[in-house]
Amino acid sequence: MSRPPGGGGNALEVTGIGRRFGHVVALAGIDLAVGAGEVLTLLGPSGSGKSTLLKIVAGYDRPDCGIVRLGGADITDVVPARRDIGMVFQNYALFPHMTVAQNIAFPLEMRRLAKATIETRVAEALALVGLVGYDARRPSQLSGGQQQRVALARAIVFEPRLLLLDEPFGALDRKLREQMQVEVKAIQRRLGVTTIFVTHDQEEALVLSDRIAVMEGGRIAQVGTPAEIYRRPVDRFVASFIGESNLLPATILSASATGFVADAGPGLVLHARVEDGMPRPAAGTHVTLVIRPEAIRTRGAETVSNAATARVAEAIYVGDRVKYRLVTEGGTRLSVAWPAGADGPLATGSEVDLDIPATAIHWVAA
Amino acid sequence: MSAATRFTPGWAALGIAPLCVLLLFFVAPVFRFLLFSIADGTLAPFEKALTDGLHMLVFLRTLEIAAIVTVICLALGYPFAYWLATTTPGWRAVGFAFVLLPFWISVLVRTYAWMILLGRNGILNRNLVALGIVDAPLPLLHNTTGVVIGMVHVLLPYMIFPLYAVMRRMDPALLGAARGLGAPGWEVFRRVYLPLTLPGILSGATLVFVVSLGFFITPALLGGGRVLMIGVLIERQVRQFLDWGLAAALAVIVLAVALGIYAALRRLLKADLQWS
Amino acid sequence: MIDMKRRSVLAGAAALTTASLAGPVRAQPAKPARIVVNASGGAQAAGLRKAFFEEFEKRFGIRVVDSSPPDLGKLKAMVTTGNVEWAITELAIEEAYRAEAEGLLEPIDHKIVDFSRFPANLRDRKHIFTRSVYSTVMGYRTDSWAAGKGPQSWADFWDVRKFPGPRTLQNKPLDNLEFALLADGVPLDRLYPLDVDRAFRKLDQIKRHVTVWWATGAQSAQLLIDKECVLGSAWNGRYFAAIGQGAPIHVEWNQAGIKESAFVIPKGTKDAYWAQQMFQVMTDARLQAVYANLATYPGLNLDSPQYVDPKVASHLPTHPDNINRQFWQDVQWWMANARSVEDRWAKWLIG
Repeated sequence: MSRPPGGGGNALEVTGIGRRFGHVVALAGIDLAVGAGEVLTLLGPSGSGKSTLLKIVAGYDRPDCGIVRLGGADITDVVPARRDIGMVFQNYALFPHMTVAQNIAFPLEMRRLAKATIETRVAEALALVGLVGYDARRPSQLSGGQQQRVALARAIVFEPRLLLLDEPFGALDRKLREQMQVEVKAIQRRLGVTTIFVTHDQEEALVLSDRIAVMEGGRIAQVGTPAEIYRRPVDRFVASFIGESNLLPATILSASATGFVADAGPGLVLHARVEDGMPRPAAGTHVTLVIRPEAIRTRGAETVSNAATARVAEAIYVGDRVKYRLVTEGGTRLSVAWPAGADGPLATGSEVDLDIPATAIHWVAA
Repeated sequence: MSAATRFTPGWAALGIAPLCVLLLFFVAPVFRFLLFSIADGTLAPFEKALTDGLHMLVFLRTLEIAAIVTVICLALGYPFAYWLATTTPGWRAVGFAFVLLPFWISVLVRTYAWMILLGRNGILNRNLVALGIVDAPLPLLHNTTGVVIGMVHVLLPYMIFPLYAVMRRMDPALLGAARGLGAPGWEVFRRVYLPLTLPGILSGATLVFVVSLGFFITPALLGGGRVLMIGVLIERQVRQFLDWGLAAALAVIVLAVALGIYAALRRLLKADLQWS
Repeated sequence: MIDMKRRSVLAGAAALTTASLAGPVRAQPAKPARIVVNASGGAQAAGLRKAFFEEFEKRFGIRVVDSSPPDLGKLKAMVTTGNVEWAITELAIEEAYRAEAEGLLEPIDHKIVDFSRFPANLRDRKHIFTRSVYSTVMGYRTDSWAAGKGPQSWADFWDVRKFPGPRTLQNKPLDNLEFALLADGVPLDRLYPLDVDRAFRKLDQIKRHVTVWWATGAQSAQLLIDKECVLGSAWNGRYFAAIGQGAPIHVEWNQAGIKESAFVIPKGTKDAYWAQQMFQVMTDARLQAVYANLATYPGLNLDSPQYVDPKVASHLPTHPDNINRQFWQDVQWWMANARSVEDRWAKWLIG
């Protein structure tokens, strides 16, 4: 069932895609390329344009301008039926009047394959998604997770050139969602099918994606691997959308070849290191510093980059970790997340000595 | 506590009250009337109804006309209901006004309007002749054609509403999914849209067919006297000859056939459309 | 305002005095606020109101409400359930006889209703009041044939070569069997008992030329007005009304069928006494003339014709020029044969 390797080129390229609805700009010139076999996630809040972009790729909507290329061919004006794209819809869109087997056979029948071939491929697909023996059930007789497996089987059984997943886990409860994420990723890896995955859930995006395109207001704010996006967000929006962050307004006091010194509030002058090849801010500019909560440490014996003292304003116990809201002596608020110690969380009002490593301080425009 | 929440006499009464009213003022009188068919202790009225050569002939003709009307209502109602279900709210309001129009007009006015339109010297025929499309006026009235036209006009809403209801409930993602999975337009219709609207088709068709069986004013006025439906004969026995035994026997036969058709369609729905 | 009020109070007091002075001949039942008279409705209702209801309301101070249409089945349902809504209802004459046979009617109180100036054969009627008569006449469009130059007999009506054009007849065997036999040469006074087989054989000849078998009185005249048909039958008042509105129609009285229009009192009505009083109002010669002038359906009080508008007189079935050229419907024959003939009619029509 698996396709021959795509040769490493781009499976999908969209260029200059724009789309308006009345006065509302839904997409403002999108350029994006998805490599063969890659899982790319469109991540963004609702209204960011990710669903519109997906519809345009699938052929359900037509862009006002721009080109969609699949395997090098322009498919901008091709109807969905001839795009050869498999899609798993938000609510699965299983045909309620057909059995599981008939649902999965549908795209094969539309391709006029021989009956015997269809039977074999349906059986293979059912095996792949772990639903052997469910052929004769109706969708209404299945659980949410089972329905999703059928939807996935139906979307891949005809070996599409591209697989689209539109918020497929939204209807599942948390435990099932995590399990399905793992399974879908495993199936995708096995088939090697190029996949675009749409979600507003950043955790989901981090788990499933080779790369993530963060969308905001009809444009792509940043494209990168999950690690890049997490560690080096390009702006305040990406920083705040992916994971939790301390966003501190600061003024650059001085900059050098390897780093900078910034004034982040009363009593909080921070020394930061900039990785090779990354841009450095100019002295005197106003910036926002991005510091992940888990990167701030309690001060121990090791080397101190930036020392500070703060008071615990609030402690929230979240199982394996404790989230603290701290206030520094100078009045700056900081969020930190530390493993829950054996003696329990720190008491509210107690004083802690902090270390903010120079490598954990990332800067974006103000 | 749990007993109190399980048993709520207030809500039960709310359902029982209308049921009682329906039983008392509708079902009971109908049942009482149907009993006239066996009032004299014999099945003589049924024997007459079934064997006198007139009533069963007229009943078969009635079934035929009802079937024709049902098919035409479906052919006209299906695309119209689709348009209603998919158009803008403004156009939908206009469409509904047109669908409901026949309900606001008395059956006589409606029927005379058709006479003006379809008559030998009616608007339609005058124009057709004037434009040279036909040489002589078309016989559109005072025959089966006239009756069918008049009945379709009245019964179309009974077809459109059930269809509209299922079409509005239709998940557009299903059609999108079918297209995306490689189905061309007519396959989307044949394999997905049509089967999913089947419950609407069946309930609309049942309604139209069953209501058709009872028509008598429209056939009397638009049929020119040549189109006789069973309702006319029943009405004649009730009002003119006071033979309520025969009238009731005929009514029982019509009711039995109507219920039989309804039951058959229900079975079909159950067997084939478990999902709905 | 004050003046008006005082005057009406005074008038009331005066009426009271008069009533008590005159004294009732017999105990009068309590007056209801209203009674219901059920008849054919439409233009006829207006005529009844103008001629009789207004007089009745003035005389007794009881409001008269009209309803329609006449319905023998409903009458039976009312009487058998003891829930009689009508004080009086109209019925087709053979239906009235059927109702009489089934015991659905209240007897006429000859102490109240005075038939002394009616034809002798109507004076002793027990349950059925012949309020008027009407005729089923032939009519044709005068743009097809000039008035008087068209068909003058049912034989002419059957002659589709001499008088071509679409025809209309009532969707009932009543009258049509008679017309067919007349067309076939049976003399006017030898019609009954009807030779049904012969009549249907004759009807076979005209069947395909009758494009519409009319179902309602309104339809019968409208078909000629709309030029849907050029020749047909109708109740005389329907053509009269159409002509009054300018329709180019000529009425042929020769070989028309004249029959009674019956009014009856449903058995068990609580307003029976007032129904009898209404009948008495309806026997009034002058009031019958008022109605005849409006509807061309004359009452049978022998003194009535002198009050009829001379312009209307020739349009009445009872006019000397018309009455002798017609046949009277034989109610007894129709009573005995209606069911079998109606079934045969229905079968013949769809066959």
